[in-house]
Amino acid sequence: MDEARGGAVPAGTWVEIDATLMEGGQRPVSAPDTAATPLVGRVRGFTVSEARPGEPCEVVTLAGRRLSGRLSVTAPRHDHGFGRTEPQLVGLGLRLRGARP
Amino acid sequence: MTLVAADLRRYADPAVRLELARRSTGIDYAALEGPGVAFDFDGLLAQAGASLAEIADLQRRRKVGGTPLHELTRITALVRSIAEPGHGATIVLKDEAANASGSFKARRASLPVEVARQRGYDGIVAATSGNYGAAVASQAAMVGLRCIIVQETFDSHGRAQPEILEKARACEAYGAEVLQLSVGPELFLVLNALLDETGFFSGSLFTPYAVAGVETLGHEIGVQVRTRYGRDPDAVVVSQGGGGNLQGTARGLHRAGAGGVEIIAAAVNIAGLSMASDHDFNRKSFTTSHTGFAVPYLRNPDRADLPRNAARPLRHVDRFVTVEQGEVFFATELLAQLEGIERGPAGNTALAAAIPLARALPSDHVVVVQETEYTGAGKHHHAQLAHAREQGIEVRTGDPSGGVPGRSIVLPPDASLLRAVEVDLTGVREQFVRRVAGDRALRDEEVAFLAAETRLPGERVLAAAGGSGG
Repeated sequence: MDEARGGAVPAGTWVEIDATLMEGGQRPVSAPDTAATPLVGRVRGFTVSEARPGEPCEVVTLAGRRLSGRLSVTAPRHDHGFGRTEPQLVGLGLRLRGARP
Repeated sequence: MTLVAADLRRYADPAVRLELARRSTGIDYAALEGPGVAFDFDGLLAQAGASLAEIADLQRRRKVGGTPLHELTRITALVRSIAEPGHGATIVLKDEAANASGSFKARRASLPVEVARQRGYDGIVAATSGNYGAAVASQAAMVGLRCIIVQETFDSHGRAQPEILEKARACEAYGAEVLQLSVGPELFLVLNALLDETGFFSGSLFTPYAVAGVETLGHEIGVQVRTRYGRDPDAVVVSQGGGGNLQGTARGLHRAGAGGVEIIAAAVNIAGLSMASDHDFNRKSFTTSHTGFAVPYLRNPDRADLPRNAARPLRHVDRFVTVEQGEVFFATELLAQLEGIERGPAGNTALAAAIPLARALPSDHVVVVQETEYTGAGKHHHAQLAHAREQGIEVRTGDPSGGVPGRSIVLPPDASLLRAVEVDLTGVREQFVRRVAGDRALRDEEVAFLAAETRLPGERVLAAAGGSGG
């Protein structure tokens, strides 16, 4: 998720920060699959002061909280999509509605 | 550098959690306990503090409820074409996507947000990766409350579930802070730390406030079906996750005088995939209403983020069926191409179950599918199948029962291959009793409580408890 750009971003920039909330090895062994991996958190907000990608950064979130973490993404985007069209699905839908492709 | 200042391990302490529950909900859970294994269920529900009419009025003011009930004429015709003569019930769909925020979860969020506002809290926090986050954020926006949503979003490689990303986007659109976490059971520790740090109200899905809001849904269904068809629905199919949807719908139907309706819970089969597993996280195409939540919450509703879950689905459910992931995608495609409405996919779990259920019922019966949800990027059957393929999951056409969750998704070529697989609820009810009773000898009040919790007769409760040596 890191951006390669190394330049400083000014205060008031919309960014994503991340932080490790629990180190691997400190986590409950009742969940063996995650116990050895760190618990990581991400949150987005406006930078409080000038900050550099990959370095510590303080933000104000949409709930008005001041949180600090590592500046992981500058100007993050919501880029989840609709995926590739699944031809099998479209084909079955068309067949069932009576219009054969 | 941190996003949570407190030591998270502190919030594993039950005494700390009990006190935080009291502060963040205003409910003294300890005072509701007893006798023995029992607790005051009616007393807990009464904490909602609002009548059905008052909740309906609140929801009208908050752009919630009064959703349309659509008869699915072309899907019903398709079902009748594959049913035995005289069979194929009419399928009707409660279009809950018409609520503010695009799902029935707006009903659940309306009262907690109003209670938080009335009691002077600065904000509200909820832990949810689903539609409920957007619902809380949307309701909070309407009254100017601050809002934080905590999500389990990505695995240890940073790979996120597309449906959950869409929920995060929606929450931010409604002005909520979204804290996204990697997979793990510490989600509830983080939630408690946030409640502690902020002093915000708990928007837990499992408070009496959040469960009571669904009763308007059941009530509307009862009234709408009777008005249009001159009869009560014969069955209402409800997607089952944590149980609030089911309980609220059942109680609302009862209040509409339609207490005799068969309540059928439906969940997507993801057998073999663990909820706590980092590896399995992205190998399922559904983030709720699946057997990974539905079955554990039937057996133990109190595995929630509060000492007692106000939703007790075993008290209300008559039957429980499972469907396959490929069958829900098929139902989603049918809804778009035959009925002209694009919804779901996860919200179409009950629709996928209703198709084979209606096929087996007489044609003068009415089956209600009680929810839809909005569709968007990530929240889409094509997006989920593309994501599954990226995880190496095979997608093919055939008999859906041949699919293996996490390895393959099989799309049925026609509706006759859809099955609603019956789960033995009596066994689940007996497991519930064994879990609660442990080794203790049950007193009469405890037997009566467990009979109400499970709908087993008293002697069956004693027999089931006896199986554990109690």
